[in-house]
Amino acid sequence: MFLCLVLGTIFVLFPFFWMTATSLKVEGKGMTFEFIPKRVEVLGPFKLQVGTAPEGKMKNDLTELTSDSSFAIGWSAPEADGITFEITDQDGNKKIESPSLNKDKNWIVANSLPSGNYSYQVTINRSWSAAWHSLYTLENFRKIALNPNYPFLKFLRNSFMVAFSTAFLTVILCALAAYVFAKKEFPGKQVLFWTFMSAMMIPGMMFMVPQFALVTRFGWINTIFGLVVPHLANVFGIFMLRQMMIGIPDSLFEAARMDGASEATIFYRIVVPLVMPSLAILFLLTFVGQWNNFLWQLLVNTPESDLITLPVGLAMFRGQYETQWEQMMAASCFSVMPIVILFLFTQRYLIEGLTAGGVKE
Amino acid sequence: MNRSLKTVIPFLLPFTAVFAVFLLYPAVYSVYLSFLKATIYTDLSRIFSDMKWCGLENYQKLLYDTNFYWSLIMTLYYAVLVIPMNIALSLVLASILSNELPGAKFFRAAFYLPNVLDLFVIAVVWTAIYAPNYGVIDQLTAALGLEKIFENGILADPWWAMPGIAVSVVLKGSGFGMILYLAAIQNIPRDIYEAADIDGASAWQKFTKITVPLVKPITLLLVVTGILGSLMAFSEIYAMTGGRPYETLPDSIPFFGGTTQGTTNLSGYYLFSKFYVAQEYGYAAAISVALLIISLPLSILSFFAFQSEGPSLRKLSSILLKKLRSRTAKAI
Amino acid sequence: MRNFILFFLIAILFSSCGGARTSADNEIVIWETYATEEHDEFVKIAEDFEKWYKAEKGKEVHVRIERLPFADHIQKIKFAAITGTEPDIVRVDAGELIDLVYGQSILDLNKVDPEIETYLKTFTPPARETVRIPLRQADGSVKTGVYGIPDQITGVAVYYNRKFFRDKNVPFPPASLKELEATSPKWDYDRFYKTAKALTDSSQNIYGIALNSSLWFTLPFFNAFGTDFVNVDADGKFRCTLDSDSGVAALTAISRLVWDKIEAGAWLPGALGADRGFVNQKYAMIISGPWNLKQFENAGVDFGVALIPEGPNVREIETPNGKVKVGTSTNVGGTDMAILKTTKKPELCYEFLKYLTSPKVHARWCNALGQIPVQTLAEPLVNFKDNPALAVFMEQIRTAIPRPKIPRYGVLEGQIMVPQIDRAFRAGNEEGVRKALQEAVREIDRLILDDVNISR
Repeated sequence: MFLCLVLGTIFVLFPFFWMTATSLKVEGKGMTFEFIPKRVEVLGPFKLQVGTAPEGKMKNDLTELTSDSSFAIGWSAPEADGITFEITDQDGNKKIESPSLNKDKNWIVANSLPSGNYSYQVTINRSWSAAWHSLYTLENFRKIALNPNYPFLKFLRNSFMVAFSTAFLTVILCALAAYVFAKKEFPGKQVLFWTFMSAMMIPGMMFMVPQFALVTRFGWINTIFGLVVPHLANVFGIFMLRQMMIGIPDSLFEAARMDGASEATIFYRIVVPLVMPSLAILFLLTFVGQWNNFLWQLLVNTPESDLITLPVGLAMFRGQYETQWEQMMAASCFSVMPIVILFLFTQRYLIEGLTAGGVKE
Repeated sequence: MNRSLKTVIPFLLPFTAVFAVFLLYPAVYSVYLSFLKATIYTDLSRIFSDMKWCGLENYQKLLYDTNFYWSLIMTLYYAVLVIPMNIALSLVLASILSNELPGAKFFRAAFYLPNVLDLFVIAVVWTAIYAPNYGVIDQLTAALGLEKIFENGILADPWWAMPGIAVSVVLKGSGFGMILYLAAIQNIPRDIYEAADIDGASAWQKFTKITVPLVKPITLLLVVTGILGSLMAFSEIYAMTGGRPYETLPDSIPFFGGTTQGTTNLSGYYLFSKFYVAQEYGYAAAISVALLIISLPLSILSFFAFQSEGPSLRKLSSILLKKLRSRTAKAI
Repeated sequence: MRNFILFFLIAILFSSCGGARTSADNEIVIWETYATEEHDEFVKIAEDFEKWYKAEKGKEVHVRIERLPFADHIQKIKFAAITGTEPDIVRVDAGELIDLVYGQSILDLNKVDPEIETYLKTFTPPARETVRIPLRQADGSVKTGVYGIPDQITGVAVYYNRKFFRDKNVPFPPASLKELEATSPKWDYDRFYKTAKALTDSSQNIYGIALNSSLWFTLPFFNAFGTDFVNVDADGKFRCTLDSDSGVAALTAISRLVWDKIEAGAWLPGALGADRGFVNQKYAMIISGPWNLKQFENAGVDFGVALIPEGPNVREIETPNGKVKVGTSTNVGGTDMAILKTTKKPELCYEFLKYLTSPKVHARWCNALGQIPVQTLAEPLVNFKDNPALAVFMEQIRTAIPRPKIPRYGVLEGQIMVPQIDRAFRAGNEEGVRKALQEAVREIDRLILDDVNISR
């Protein structure tokens, strides 16, 4: 069974590995399946016809005509340890040339060949560290965190503020209301409960326009109110906390009331500690939901707003046609980090809440 | 009776206030919107005031909309796959990881984390797994010398695309169910399990007779949320297949015959395409009202199905009562 | 805990009460969605404009640039239009411009400058066409207005893997209009088929071509066969003619590659996309645009760029080297700068847009960012020597035809064309292709044109 767990974990963490690997890759190689750097790279064979300029050269290919019958075969790879050119003539005879780095940091060998069709193959040898650097780099992280046009830390702070306030207030509002639905009777309880539940049954996108109109009319654009308040009435939160609270035995409350406790005390000192794990879960859930809530944050913030959050800031890396995958993955890594930390933190409340008290009576 | 009303109000007020303004009003507005219609030439800056009343026209259109009914059928297919798998996996994970196995903390974090990942990352990764010829699955079968399971990859097969998506959704979402069940399982005192041990119960019996019944409230939560989630799901489809692959149904099928339908077209995705892509706000509102009319009875039914006040609960209550009585005494 | 509450209170104190933003008298607000390097360049141009305007007209102006992420920017613009908080100028994709025009948010530039058609003639014809949008009027006639100034243009061409071509001894396809004229056998769909077939090597899991079943990537083929997508008929009504014989021929020519398994299946949902497969050297040819140049170069792929194969629809066009007869064409992507109707300073906005696309300024932009110029007068100033692949895209754009000028492009793609092109790719014969296109036309009528053709 342990093996299953381990296998499952590998499978489930696979996206994270992929994400991190891509974010560490050199620009352009993000989408390739190359994960192990190549120490030896063979390119070509490329065609060479004496008397004609070489056709279709790659970016680093420096081969050129030096005169009607002479060629200089060259390659630009300053980080390589060594390069060999293998020149084949039309009869299949091969000749190997191993140039050294010239003063321009290029590998060039000058040749004089009789007319005819040739081809040449380039073998690049790199040391481990050169190969590593040709595939992996920290540049993407640096570009995002240190870009002067990008107050990355401010985005982080704003996201944190928004997510934290929303989560905190949501937990309070939902806990208060859920307690009442779980443990109390009052006229209109069922009606009110199902009214709340119905709101959950309308897809969120339908609310977008009226909520946006309200936020604009209240003057809450670019303010933290506009970002936080519309999400506080989280019906799922009430539902979940209610489910967790109905398990609390009623006798507890009777005992407390007999001892003369007020409603507020009962709530604060009995209910809250008992459902602390669920409160932590709701907090975590709301936090994550608001952390990733791109669309609403985009709408409520105008571009000059001080409260631009991380998802909106990171979306700048997604262009119209191209996606700079490497930078986007680096951005996602940054975005996921705080949540991981938060989760490890709330595990404490989650698990040790009740059992730590010791159950054996 | 009066007393309870007075005491109840301060608890309910904050939530209800925010709810009324930011959820109730937009909800009512959406219903209102379903009776309006805009033309393609409606002035955007006055779109909501310029939309004309058209009575039940949107609903009439909806009644004959083959795409909508098809999306409901596909949503059923999706729900039947995802909801049970999700609940089962979450519960199993939670029960395994609720004791102090070595590294339990790490495993819990690991299984929860896919839940927070961006959907596009998940989509790219799963494409790399499912891709025909070059994906992980096909590379594995080729390496083992087996024949390809799916000629063109699972997501290109009209009837297996949905299970393919369902698997990725369940793996992403089960972490959330897992932590809910973890919290619920924590509430079950060890005494019950120990009592069962003394009676000679096997692990399976402990699981089915103690754990499963006692976490019923959470199961209800996950079922209802699962139903609603399936009806409104769209980002999974948007990221992975966009409603494809398409099947042109044979003419012999009544009502749907001859039309081309997307086999991963869920109702949420259909709504998304009407709202965002086509900008037919009135029609989209009508669809959301239809979804509401469908989900409400289903949810109420689930409540009836999962209400449990069995004897085991009473036993739990008495044990909890003893323990918490002492805590209460300390608190007051 | 206490610290947090304090923090929160301070945040409340510092949050202003928002409200609608009005720009000052001499200020114009622009919402743009440029990539980072483009944005930096754009900021410089705006500063230069302010200096130039001060020198020329003696007045102080300010250009306020506000940057939006590209994702969901249309939603943001629409919501701004709904709540009356729009800027003065927006940068939008050519297809989305049409929706905004239909929503009566965009200013017809004929009102600002009656001579604008003359000014537009200095732009490359495909770019010019993206801003001329026909609208049905209340009396049933159709009037074409000018609803923006093009600021960026892009298209597609054929990327090919030179290593695979060399390995199989297949000659490289033509990369310029001159080469296209001279090459023999003609670079038409027959030769395209044979080339792709020669390159397909199942033992190495390499395919000759990878296609995409969206309209965007198949329009070049429809164009090459001369298919008119939408026509305005005598009643002023829009009619779709996609299922004409030329349309069927175009789609069949491409579908044959799929039927005979020369195409890699990249169009299937969940398959390795064309770009991703090309960069991993699994596909010998793909249809894609200049936005991939850097990625492919950095990944070390030995690639070249060639023109889209010629179809029977041969047209004569003017090039810097004289008149040329060509049958190759691409689709047009790219963006336009549009002025919103609610702006209070239309003339100032127009001045800025003219400055932005003036030859010297635009050439500087293209050189700095490696892009294709929209302004023909800027072409001689743009350096293509360092970027020969870009020159091929430039050649290809000369014969480009913009996308059909109907609204709801998203619906056209996602709900109508993709399913039917999928169906054609599965059909196996020409009859199936015809049926697919016929259903596409029916759906286009039902979902788009019926709404367009109503009397206003």
